[in-house]
Amino acid sequence: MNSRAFSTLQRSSITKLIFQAKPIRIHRGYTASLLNSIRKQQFPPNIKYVHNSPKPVPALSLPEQILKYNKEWAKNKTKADSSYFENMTAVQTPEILWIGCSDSRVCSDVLTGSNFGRVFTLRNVGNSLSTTDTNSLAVIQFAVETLKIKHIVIVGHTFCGAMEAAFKYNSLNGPISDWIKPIADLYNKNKPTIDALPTHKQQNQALSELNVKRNVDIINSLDIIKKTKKSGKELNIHGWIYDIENGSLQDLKVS
Amino acid sequence: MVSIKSFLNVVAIATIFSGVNAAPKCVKRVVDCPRHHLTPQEIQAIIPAGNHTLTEMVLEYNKIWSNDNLSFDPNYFKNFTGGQHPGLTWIGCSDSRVASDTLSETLPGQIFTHRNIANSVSEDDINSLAVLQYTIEDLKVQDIVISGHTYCGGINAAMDAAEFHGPIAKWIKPIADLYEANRAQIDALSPGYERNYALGKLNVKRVVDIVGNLEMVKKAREGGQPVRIHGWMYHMETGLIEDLKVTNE
Repeated sequence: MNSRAFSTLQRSSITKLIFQAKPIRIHRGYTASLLNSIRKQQFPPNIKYVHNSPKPVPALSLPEQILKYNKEWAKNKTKADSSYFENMTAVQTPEILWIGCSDSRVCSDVLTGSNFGRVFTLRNVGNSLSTTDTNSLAVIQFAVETLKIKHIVIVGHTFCGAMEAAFKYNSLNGPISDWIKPIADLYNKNKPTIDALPTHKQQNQALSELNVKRNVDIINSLDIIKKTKKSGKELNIHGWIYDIENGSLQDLKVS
Repeated sequence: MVSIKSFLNVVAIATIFSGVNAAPKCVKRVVDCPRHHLTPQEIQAIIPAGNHTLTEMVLEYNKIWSNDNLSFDPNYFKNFTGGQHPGLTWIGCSDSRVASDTLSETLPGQIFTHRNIANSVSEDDINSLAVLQYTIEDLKVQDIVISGHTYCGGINAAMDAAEFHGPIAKWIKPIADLYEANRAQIDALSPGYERNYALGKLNVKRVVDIVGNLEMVKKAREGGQPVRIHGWMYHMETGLIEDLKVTNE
């Protein structure tokens, strides 16, 4: 056999295959034909081992990806500071309650650099509140009474799907219809002003800002908030809007 | 003989004039990106000194963060204006130490998030049901993760439910009932971490079962849309997520 029949690459990959192939245990009773058939399984003739291509790895699903990346993240954090996570296990002392939208593009932790345990977070569809919703009221009660939080920020955003749902409220049904109703009512009350705006982006943003103002008013009307302010404890309510187009938070000054 | 300094000067000038400075599009995880992204600590250090309130500091932080991203790719944020296509819905705890977007190392746009006290869902809570309905019907997300965590204040509250009144008491009642139903088994463990961890795991399993039995989930599955519900526990003391292997699919 001419040694130049195979390129260096081919030779090295064949060598690799030979040495990586599973060892065949030779027992008594193995005939030559049996050994040959075993060899064919190890090196199936129809597969061309002509270059060192790695075996294709199936793409990970997002949950699998997260589990994998999380391990690396935890390792890197510990390498930089070995007591980083131990320090987290002490009682949490966040100073801000973030009431924002569930939208995947409005990552409250990343926007505010809050992986230091700074921001207690409530995220739901359309960053909405109501005086009958136990879910959000429980978060606010825990934040104000137990964690003694000093700032509550309600953050709306542009291109909000909940505002789109409010625009087409009549086509909704199920839990989301009940949830969006307050925002739909807000839209109906301000329909002429909103519909007069030139672009759809501006209409969405206008309703989002009105919704933030609505939520600030709801919070200010809660008994627990009034009680806390009356007792002299520091508690500030802010309304912000996050512009997805440039990643910036703006204070709407509706406190 | 050419000195190292003058050599480096030549390299610097060559780099500037060759346009190698052109910023690569940043669509990878921050750790994978070849350019250096400012870390939260670096951004904190840049925030101009002054008499800022906490919320003013957050706004300053955000300004620097968004400029950092725009410096890599002026269209970085414009990519998001076309709508969201998340791959996963996260139902987790409001706890400030469980920063789901950071600990999962995902990019904006990947995880649709609902966070409340003790990552709970109940059949009469339109808040969480609206999140799930939007997930399944509009976003067509196939993976839902219910993530509990260790050292959970909501779980501690459920073990001490008599102390609480008002909305919180109502919200944690299902978890308090779960505790009562498993009291012997949980109280046999040492108080503190062990009991919190055990009840936290049972709570995640409870929520996975509730979500799996919702009408909207059954209807989606019957229509051929896969809906997989995973139960995870985030270990705050190590930063690692544990898959509880209670996936409902």
